[in-house]
Amino acid sequence: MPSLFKAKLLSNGRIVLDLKENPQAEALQARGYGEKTGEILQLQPWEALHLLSEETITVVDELGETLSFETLLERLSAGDETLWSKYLVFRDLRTRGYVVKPGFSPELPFRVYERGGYGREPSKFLLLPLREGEPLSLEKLERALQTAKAAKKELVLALVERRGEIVYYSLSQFA
Amino acid sequence: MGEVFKAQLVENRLIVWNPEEGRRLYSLGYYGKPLGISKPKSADFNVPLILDLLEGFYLAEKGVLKVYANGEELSLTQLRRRALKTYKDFRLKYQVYRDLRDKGLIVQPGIKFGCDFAVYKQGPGLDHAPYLVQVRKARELVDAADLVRSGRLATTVRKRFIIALPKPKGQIQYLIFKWWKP
Repeated sequence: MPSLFKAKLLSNGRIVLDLKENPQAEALQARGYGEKTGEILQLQPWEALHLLSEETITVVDELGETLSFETLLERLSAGDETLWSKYLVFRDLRTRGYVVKPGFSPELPFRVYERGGYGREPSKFLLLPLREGEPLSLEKLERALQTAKAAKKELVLALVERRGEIVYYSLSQFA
Repeated sequence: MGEVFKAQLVENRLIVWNPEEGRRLYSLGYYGKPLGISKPKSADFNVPLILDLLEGFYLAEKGVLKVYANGEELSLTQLRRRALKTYKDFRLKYQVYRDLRDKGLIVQPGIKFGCDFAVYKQGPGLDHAPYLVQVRKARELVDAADLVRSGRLATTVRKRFIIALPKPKGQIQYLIFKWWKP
């Protein structure tokens, strides 16, 4: 996708694409990016970072200043201290051909579609990122498993190592 | 079944001295380990059978095993007291052991794999590899390195490992981890 779309970082931290100004940006939505409301495509922070790093979009702030990846990351991280890890997981799955949409809660930030399944079937996985060193109670893990089960999805734990390597484990229960 | 076996409590082990009895007990579901034979190929050994307290207590609870110490039969309560004293987290581990056995699985010590239990569907030597089970407490905290360590260990054997969480009300939650390659 060579054309560069212009996204805007609003003062409330939202990143939006005006579809009237960027008519071809609808293609982004078809690829599983953003949430469309009227003529506005709103991007998740990790989506914006990923699209910016791929040079699919440029991001300007409300003063019209074009933001570098570093600046955007810094500004968005103010509202989410685990954004970097989320971005790493998002990017990893996205570049492997998975469509990744927002999940159910801050603990379960992503739902993931089977390759080629987006738009045809419900998402198959629910992701729980865990950063190296971050403690997780087994109780919480168990609750996440129940949530996934109730939603008929598979729970996948994404262990993000301190330099960004990711190891995945899928979780299930005894029948 | 019907037969009731006899074992002597020695330290924190139970010994079935009669090899004939031991062979029959072993054949019931890989209970115990023939003394000095680390990987028994079949139940044709001619040595005493050593049971650990988990399997011993399980068999005693089922009425299959009578346990003696100093020439006197021990009650279940006495045996439990002994187990609680000599076996760390006996209550939790036994809760899981019993549940897995009651599910019809073959449960062996997992110490050589660095976990609590190595669990087989058919039996050691028959299954391709065991499932590795760790007993943990629900309020315990884990971190990524903790899980990767367990995972690495298990993936050298089988592509999954299991954390068992015994609940106060008696039911057990099993979390089955499987390496996932996106």
